[in-house]
Amino acid sequence: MKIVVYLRQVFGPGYDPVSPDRRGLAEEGAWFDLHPIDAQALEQALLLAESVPSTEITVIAAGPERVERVLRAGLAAGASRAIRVASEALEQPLPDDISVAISLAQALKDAGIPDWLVCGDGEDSAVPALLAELLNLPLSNALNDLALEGTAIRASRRLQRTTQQLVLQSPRVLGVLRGPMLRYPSLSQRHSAAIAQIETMSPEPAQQGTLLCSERTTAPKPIKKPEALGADANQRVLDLFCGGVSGGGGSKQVLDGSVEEMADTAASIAVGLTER
Amino acid sequence: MSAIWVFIESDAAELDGYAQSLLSAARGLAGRNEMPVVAIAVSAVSDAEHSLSSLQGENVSRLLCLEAGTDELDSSSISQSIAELITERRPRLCLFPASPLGRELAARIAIRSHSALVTNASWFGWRQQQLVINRPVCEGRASQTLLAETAEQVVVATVADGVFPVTPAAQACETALEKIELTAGEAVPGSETLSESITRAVDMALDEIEVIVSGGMGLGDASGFELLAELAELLNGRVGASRMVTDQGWIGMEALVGQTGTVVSPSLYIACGISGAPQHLIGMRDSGTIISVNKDANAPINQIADLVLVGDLYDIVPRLIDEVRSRSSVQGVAS
Ligand SMILES: Cc1cc2nc3c(=O)[nH]c(=O)nc-3n(C[C@H](O)[C@H](O)[C@H](O)COP(=O)(O)OP(=O)(O)OC[C@H]3O[C@@H](n4cnc5c(N)ncnc54)[C@H](O)[C@@H]3O)c2cc1C
Ligand SMILES: Nc1ncnc2c1ncn2[C@@H]1O[C@H](COP(=O)(O)O)[C@@H](O)[C@H]1O
Repeated sequence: MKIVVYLRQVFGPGYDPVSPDRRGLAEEGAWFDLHPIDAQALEQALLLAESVPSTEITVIAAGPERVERVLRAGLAAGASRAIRVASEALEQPLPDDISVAISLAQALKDAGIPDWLVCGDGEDSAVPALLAELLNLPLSNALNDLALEGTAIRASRRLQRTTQQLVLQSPRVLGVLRGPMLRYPSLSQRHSAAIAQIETMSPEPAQQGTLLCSERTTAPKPIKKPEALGADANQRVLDLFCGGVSGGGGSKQVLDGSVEEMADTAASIAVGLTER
Repeated sequence: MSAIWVFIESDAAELDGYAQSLLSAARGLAGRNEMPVVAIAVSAVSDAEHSLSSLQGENVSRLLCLEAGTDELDSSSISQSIAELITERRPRLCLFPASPLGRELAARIAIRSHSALVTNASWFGWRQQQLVINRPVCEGRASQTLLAETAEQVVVATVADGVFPVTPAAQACETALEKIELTAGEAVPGSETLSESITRAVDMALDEIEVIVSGGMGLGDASGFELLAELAELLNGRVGASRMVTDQGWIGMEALVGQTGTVVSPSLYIACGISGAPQHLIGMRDSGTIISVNKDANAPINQIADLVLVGDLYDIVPRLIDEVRSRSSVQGVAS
């Protein structure tokens, strides 16, 4: 069985990527990390591989030399081969998804299409689906809890309100939503990964994607989290059940009377909030 | 004339909030350039009228209804049909929900129709005739502005749920129905759905849950979580915990809320026997309604709580369970 895991390198936690003039990205002095979902997808792949002795796991990443760090993390965790895909379009900090996918797809065609192409998935993911399209493979995304069943994979797939139980055959692109925490490599594993060979592939893009010009990247405006139950639902429920304590923000009620009264008030709020 | 297209995923007789949000985004952008909004839906043969009636009052000029012969949605043939329509009619923008299906269609269609692709768009505008799009990047730490290269370029974009507020249409127009037969692609073998069921709260991650009932050292021992789990289940929620409690091993780390655990913002957070150390508060202070059950009226968590129940949690929580249960059976809230 052959598994390829696609790994992304992202700015490390706590790093503010916006440049001091607030109009672009600052890479200088940045620290980077393996994308947390990709780390979980990798662990998921490693666990799948453990049950089939001859499995070969390759990690692949696209970008400048700095992405070799996430590849070495993949090698330390147990991958046996690492490929960095390099091209001019991938040098910038925010390459277009289509450019990334075209380069990766070309490299994978050269390196050999695996049985399972595992990618971290999320609401903003496009690369797993783009790879499926470019490699002419089926895609199963939004997956959790993968397990091998013979040569197939059994997984659950999270849709908006429902969860499907699936049995999947290879070859296929798998988009993994969540997985177990990535194992912590031993010192000797990290040492061998640090000196391991990383293959670099610079595929000639066979086709040109249609792209948008990235005009600027700035600090985000603060986003107000939309409340699931409507902006004033909490206030309404509190007003209704707590005798209309309201006013500028603070609408706190402190009850220290009878247990009955407390339970009654709290139950009203809880049930009111969970009702739709 | 060039239009803004919106892919409507649900085939229900009523639009859900997500579809309304996408249509609102499309109307906002189309209105500024006097463009029509066109909806695309996939349905089994008899559902086209359903989809059509759901669009009433949405100011959608046309519904492109892809009619599949079967219930099985085949993403490749849907992609092929929509890509052909895009290539032929060249809308300026085609919006998809960022759902599992929407993500797949958007990517496949962008490649097949040689369109540009933008994920997670958060703002759309025009600069003269060129489309301008913003989207959060770097895990929301930055915002990128993208510009179409020409006034003719087609852009395929995904939009997350709730990003665009639902606004009613200022005008209404008659929606023309155009049925398009979905050309069945070659069947893609290799995926079998064994079952499909409503996702249970216990299968969701802590940060997706609408109700969390958390326990702290006030529980006294691990068995207290059975009580909290009972309440959580009634409210279709899950159990959370403070660090002292996970350190004791009373419950697993997946339940930990706070700086070293999960940061959550459910609609309802019930803290039982939790003092409210800053490391815990960081993880839950954005919750909608916070109820604190604590012996100590001056526990720090009470300062951010909306409702404070002062007393022994072992007196209050069982009673609360009874109250919730009696209301639920009347109102049919919990299962
Ligand atoms: C670096 C660092 C990171 C940390 N990260 C986290 C984190 O991510 N999350 C986290 O939670 N903590 C974290 N902590 C620990 C945090 O500082 C607190 O120690 C911890 O949150 C306290 O847990 P507690 O509220 O359950 O216990 P306590 O502080 O002991 O509070 C128990 C509360 O229960 C009440 N009580 C007792 N008996 C009853 C009863 N029968 N009925 C009702 N109420 C009762 C008491 O009045 C008291 O308020 C971190 C600490 C450090 C140093
Ligand atoms: N490129 C732009 N041109 C004009 N106004 C913009 C632009 N980008 C953002 N805005 C404004 O800023 C608000 C939020 O943008 P943002 O949070 O960056 O997506 C929008 O509602 C617009 O009012």
